[in-house]
Amino acid sequence: MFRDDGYSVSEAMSTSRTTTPTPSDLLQELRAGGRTSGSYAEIEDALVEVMNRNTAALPPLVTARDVLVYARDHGLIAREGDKLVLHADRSK
Amino acid sequence: MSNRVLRIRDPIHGYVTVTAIEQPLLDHPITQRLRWVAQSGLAQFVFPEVRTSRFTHSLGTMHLASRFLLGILRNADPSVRARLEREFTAAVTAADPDVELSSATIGELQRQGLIACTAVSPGAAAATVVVEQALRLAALFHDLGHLPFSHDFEYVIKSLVNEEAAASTLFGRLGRGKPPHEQIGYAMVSLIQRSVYAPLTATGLRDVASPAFKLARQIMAADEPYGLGTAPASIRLLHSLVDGEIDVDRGDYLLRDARNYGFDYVTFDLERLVSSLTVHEHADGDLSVAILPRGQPAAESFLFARYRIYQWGVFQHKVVQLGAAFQMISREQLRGAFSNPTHRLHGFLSEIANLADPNAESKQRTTALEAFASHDDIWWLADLRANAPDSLMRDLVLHRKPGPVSLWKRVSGFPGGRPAVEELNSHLPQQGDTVAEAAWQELVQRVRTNYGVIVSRVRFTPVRLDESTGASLLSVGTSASAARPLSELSPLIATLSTAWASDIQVFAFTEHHVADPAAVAANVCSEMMDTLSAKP
Repeated sequence: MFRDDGYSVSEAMSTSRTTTPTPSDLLQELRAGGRTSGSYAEIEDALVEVMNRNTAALPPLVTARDVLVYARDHGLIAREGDKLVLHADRSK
Repeated sequence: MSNRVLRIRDPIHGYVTVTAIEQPLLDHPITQRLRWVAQSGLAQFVFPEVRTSRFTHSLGTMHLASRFLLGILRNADPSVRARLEREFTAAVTAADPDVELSSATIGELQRQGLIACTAVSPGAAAATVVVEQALRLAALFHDLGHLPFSHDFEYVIKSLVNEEAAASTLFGRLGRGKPPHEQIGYAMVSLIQRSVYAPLTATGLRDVASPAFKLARQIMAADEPYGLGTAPASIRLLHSLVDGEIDVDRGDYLLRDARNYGFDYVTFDLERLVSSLTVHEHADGDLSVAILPRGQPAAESFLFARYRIYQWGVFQHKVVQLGAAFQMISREQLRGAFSNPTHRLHGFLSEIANLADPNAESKQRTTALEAFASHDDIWWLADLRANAPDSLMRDLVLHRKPGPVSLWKRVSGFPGGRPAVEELNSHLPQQGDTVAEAAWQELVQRVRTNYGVIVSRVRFTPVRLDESTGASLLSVGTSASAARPLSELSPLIATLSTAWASDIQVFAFTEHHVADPAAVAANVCSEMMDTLSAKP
């Protein structure tokens, strides 16, 4: 199956997958900006800013909360005491 | 102070008692607006009697807040109750160090319907009265910020902000942050408090109202996913009573909506549930709502009721179809309005953005509050009638005119039957997986282009699980140390997640009549499966 513009589905998909930031990429951008820990509200607000900067490459209805839930389930963020701490992605 | 206690007749709860602090809030135009925002959104276009409003639902939710709080305090382990008494007292003192309630004031508020202080020691009664009032305010306000037609309209706003206005200081927060209705509702609480200053002062209960409003905002803001919460444990516990696994929001709307859907099979034993609520204190100090063993059948019925109201009402194929049509025509009306100050809807969008922004100028926010009172379901329907161009989707939403055809309605009509449904569901993007979600969006667009078919995915979590253990977050136990996940004790609850994995989560509609819908359905399913099962 081909799209109107001649790209095959697999090509289009691979293009999409290389340009869409993963949750790990978004959290890495957060860390690079100096945000490595904080309250839930602080982390969520900071992530909203990162996602807004990347909005063109992100699906329209994914929220910062969605990304944080994914990050929690994949060990990228955890509560330590009364703060959330961002962890490096060990799979990379 | 008047001796009269306001009691409102309610078909679900009998009478809902309203305190003197709550009366001016109920009379406020922003609260009255909820009479004209449907609790079940577009479902009334399919089930004509599902016309319950968010106003009556908010009243019922507020009523249940007292009952749930009393339940958990009454049944809590003595050591846990003592901890809650200490933390309630500390929270109230932090909110207002000067608060000092006389026994006469406490007695008066008991007379007006606050009941939870009967379950605590005398020394904690004053703080518990304030906390109960705060919880009731959080419950009353939990839907205050809902936009016309609630969630379907909200999805349009979020996606358009992310596409057109993410860089905007004014609009940017509405896209990737908390749902707009939560942001707006939270921000409006302080505006409303200011606007009812005089009537609140006249009640003689300002000493209760002031810390109660502050605590209500803290409770509303503690919307933090499981395992990521950093707000104080007792505040998160109170939040979970309004927005949790078994909560006052669901406790009210399940019974209220089921009645008007005509779903006699959607019910649960509210009395047994409330009388079985307690608190579980985790090893790390976290607190969560739990139930005593005698409440297990009521909890099972509650969770099954929720599953069924979603399965047969909210996710009825025509309701989903209407939601997609509504989003399409609403989106066309709002497109371009964020950046164009002369667009007729730019003022409305600025108004909701100003309301949601606590840093906006006070005058702008006050003006926005006044305007928001008239932006309800009726307003948006009238706008669509006046401005939406003729189309099948417009006819479907405004005149309920048949047109679009569902390619499948339930599992029995899905090409390949249940095994194919399960296979498709297993490949759907996980929440927050940006890459998989982007690929899904691309697939949806391609199916639209190639087949003229609209694909709509519905999301639902029948029972919240701890991802690391797969166990239900709702626990059962005679004491804190003996508590176990409900899904371990109840095979029925454990089956809910399995049932959802086997249920229709993706719907597809043709915009126009097609000669062979079964063939189109087979092609669409085949394309979805081929794409989703391909390894990246």
